[in-house]
Amino acid sequence: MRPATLATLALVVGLGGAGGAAFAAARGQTPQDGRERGSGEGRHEVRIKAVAFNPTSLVVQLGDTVVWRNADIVRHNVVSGELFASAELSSGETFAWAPGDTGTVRYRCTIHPRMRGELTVRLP
Amino acid sequence: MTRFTSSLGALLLAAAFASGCGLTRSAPGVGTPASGPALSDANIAAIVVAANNADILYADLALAKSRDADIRAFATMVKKDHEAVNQAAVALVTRLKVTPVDNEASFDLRDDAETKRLILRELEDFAFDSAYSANEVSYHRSVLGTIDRALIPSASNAELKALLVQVRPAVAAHLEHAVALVAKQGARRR
Repeated sequence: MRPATLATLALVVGLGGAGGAAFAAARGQTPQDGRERGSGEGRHEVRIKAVAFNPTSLVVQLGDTVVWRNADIVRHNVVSGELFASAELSSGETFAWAPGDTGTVRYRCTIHPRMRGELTVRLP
Repeated sequence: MTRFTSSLGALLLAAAFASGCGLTRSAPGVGTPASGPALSDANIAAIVVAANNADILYADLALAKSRDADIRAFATMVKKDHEAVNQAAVALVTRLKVTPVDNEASFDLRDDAETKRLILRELEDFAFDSAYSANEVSYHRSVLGTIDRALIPSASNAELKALLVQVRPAVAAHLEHAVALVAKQGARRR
């Protein structure tokens, strides 16, 4: 697995099914394209369930944190080229990443190659 | 057993595995609420473990024999997934104090898996890759049908039922992936 680049801050949290600390997802209005948006300093959860990322597309703002939570019975990971690569997440485990730059980030599960997701990172 | 390496041999074997008949007995007679004896949670647990172990067996063979990157990646994925499901299933039945009880369906799964393993073991190269991927389609189709028609409807315990519901998408994903693998093997033949 490649380490996070200097341009990004990677927070790796394995919670092993404890449920995790409560988080407040600061969300703005749901845009007409159906993608969820953040408002900066927010936390967004991508739920991994039924061999899929949910939501598959997420719009966040610089300063936000995205948390992938494995709610599936099988293990998954979250990998995006050189930006981030989680460990294999067992059921209940999470991986968090805070983007350090704007742009589109495509990621996937390398264990289940058909699982794909996308983040759009915008300025607050 | 004769080693099948010719394209014709591979084609015949792949077709046999895809149809789930010919070289093996027909699909296990899993009891359904409408047709056979009802399945207890203990029976269901035994079927789940037997089904997982069957695909782990096939995956181990693929990892030992295939040099195709796609086949190896698929086998790695299904092995990880079925091991995780087995782990979750065993943890659940242990907590529920349910001892898996073998039944016709679990015995059939084991017997079929061993028969197919012996056949696959004799194949090499493209013949193996074709037969393995065809078998994965047949196997996952059968397991998905069993989950839908027998296991989920028969499960009494809510947690066991929930586990089966959770497992289903993974099996469906494997099937989708296996179908794509077969298509790739078909293209490789040309």
